[in-house]
Formats: sequence, C-alpha cells, structure tokens
Amino acid sequence: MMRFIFFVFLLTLPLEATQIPKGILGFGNALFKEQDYYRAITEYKRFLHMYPTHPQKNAVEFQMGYSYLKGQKPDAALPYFQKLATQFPLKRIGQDAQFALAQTLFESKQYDFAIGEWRTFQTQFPKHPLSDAAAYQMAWAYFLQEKIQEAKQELISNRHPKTLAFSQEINQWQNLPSRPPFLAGTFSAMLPGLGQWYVGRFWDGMAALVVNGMFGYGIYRTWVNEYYVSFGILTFLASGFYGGNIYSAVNSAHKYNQNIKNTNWQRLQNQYGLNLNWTGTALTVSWE
Amino acid sequence: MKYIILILLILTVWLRMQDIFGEEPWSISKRHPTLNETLSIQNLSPISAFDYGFHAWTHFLTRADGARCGMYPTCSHYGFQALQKHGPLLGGWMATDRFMRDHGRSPELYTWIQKFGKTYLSDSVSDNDFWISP
Repeated sequence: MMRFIFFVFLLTLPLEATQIPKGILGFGNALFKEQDYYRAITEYKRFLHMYPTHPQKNAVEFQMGYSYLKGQKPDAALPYFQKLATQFPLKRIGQDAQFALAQTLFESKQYDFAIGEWRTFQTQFPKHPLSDAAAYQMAWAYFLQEKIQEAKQELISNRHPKTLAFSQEINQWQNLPSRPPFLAGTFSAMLPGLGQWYVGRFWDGMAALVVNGMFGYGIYRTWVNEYYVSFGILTFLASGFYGGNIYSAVNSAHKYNQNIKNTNWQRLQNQYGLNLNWTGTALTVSWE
Repeated sequence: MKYIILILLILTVWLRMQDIFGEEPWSISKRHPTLNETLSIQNLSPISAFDYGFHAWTHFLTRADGARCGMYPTCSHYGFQALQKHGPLLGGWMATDRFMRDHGRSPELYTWIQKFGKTYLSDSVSDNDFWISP
C-alpha cells in the first residue's frame, strides 16, 4: 500500500512542476491588473530566468515591454519590442511588437521616429487588423507636431467612424484663441505691464509697472538733481528690468498659447485617443 | 570713523569670500579631487561678475535675512541657472522677469511642489524658455 501511495506521489510531481510557471505568470498578471507594473515585471523576469525556453517566453517578453509602457517607462520598453519585431516579422507577435514599438516612440514624444515605424508597419503588413489604427496614430503624431495637413492626409483613407469627427476637430485647430507674443512684447515696451495684462496676468503686469515706474522715477530724480553716478547705476539696473518686463510679456504669451494647446490636446486625447490592449496573445486597440 | 567702518566691511567681505571660494578641508579642489559631491551652486565655477553677484546674494543676504522666495528654484538659483544657460543678456532678463513674478498673488498659474518640508510654486528655467530652446 505504501509503495502504491509513493508511486502515485511520484506521478503527481511533474504535474505540480507544470503548475509553477503558470503560477508565476498568474501572479505577475494579477499584479499587472492592479497596475503594480514594477512588481509584475519582477515576476515576468523571474519566469524568464527560471524557464528560458518556455513556449510562452515571447508572449511574456511582450508583456514585459507592455508593462514598462503602461508604467510610463517607454525607454525600458523599447528593447523588448525591438527584439520581438526583429526576430519574428512573420508572426503575429512580431507584427504586434512593431506596432507597439511605434507606440512606445510616440509616447516618448519621438513623433517622427514613431511615424517611421508605423509607416514600416503599414508597408510590411497591409492586411494586419491594426493597419487603420497605425494610420490613425500617425495622424495623431502629425497633429501633436501641429502638422495639420499631414494629419488630415493620414485620416482621409481611414475607415473608422471616429475619424471624420477627429478630422473636423483638427480643422478647428487654427481657430483656437491665441495671443501673438510679438504684440504682447510691443505692448510691454510701450507701457511696462501692458503685455502681461493682455495675456491675462494682472499681478505680473502690476509688478512690472510698479518696479519699472519706480526705476523711471529714480532715473528722472537723479538726472534732475545731477547725481550722475546714481543716474548711471539706476539706468543700468532699470534697463535690465525693462528688458525683463518685455521678456515677461513675450514669455507669458507663449505660455498662454501653449496652455490652450495642451488643454485642447488633452481634451481630444480623451475623446479621440486610442488605447492599446495586450490580451496575452494579440495586441488590440479600443477607440475611446 | 567712516573709513575704519569701510575698511572693516571690506575686510569682512574679503575674508568671507576666502571662506566661500578659498579652499576648505572639504572643498572640491585640485588638491582634493576625490571628493565629487554634486552640490548646486558650489560645484559651478563662478565665471562672471553676475555669478559672483548671485553667490554673494545666496551666501550673504539670504543667510542674513533668511530664505523667503515662494518659488522653486528660488529666484537667486533660477537667475544663476538662467545666466549659465543663456548668458548675461537673456539670462539677466529671465532673472528680472522672475523677480517681478515672485509676488505670490497668482498661484493658480503654477503647480505646487513640496521641497524641504515646505510648499513652493514650481517655476523652472525650462518652463520659461521652452519656446527658445525646446
């Protein structure tokens, strides 16, 4: 009897062993779902270290790159996608890695490189389910560089229903409110603080007016009273603050315009952004 | 009497300058090349009169009346960084621009940042020269 039990025990050992990689992966995936990407990556690394020839090795490597991407570490994600895209160009995982590689570059704001990778993806795999998504993302990459015509061009042949609405939004981009920096600078050159008021910075303008006004008064008084050394020192200091006042107006106008653009980009990203999902076997996209 | 006070003042400033720029047991110098700490201002070689001005501001005035700048980096550090990056003309304008913006009446224009147990308005050099050198 004892011999039989021992025999059964021996038989179950390999079954137990096959459960271990699944357990590690399962734990890694559970951490990933909790958005604990850092610890999930550790589990995936453990898996690859313990089972370097496991059939799921490539999928796990993809998952690692994807975890880095989700964890906002695009630089760390790049090598994983590059490796898979180079090694398996004919398999789905390699093609997905090519798309993810472009997405990684996009998220690191290397828009031109991202466009290059998506262009390669489209050329090499025209029948891939993500082909439209690649064109859509290229449009986004152009749009974020304010290359409006190029962005619209990418959207023309796109079949997704959201494309038309997004294209119309892009058309409206030129109509965003803006403050010309040159005008703001000219205003502040005429009257210190005026350019800052023009871009909606009341207290900055007030501070510029008071400081430059005091310097102006000091220069006038020292000149009238013939304190020429003090006049020279004050004029030197005042010229710095006067130049600073003009710089402030120009800079504020640039910041105003940038804020408007960032707010609108964010709004459009929420409305027309594209989300990547890695199912464990394939990369899919969801159109928010 | 006036001259004695003046001489004492010059002597004090000179001794203090020796203290800052001269060699100390733990200073970073050619004699002690192994010490490679990354300090903010002390590591940067003062190359111009403006730099000395900012050193004097940081080491004399701030130490005398305390740090009061509500922004991070502080106005003197911001000015120093702007001068290092853009030279005396543009850097000087950026520094004076910052002095005029440090009034604390428009916190909604900045993001808050926690540093050294205090809350500051974040306003780095790169926030203000992104359109010059992206």
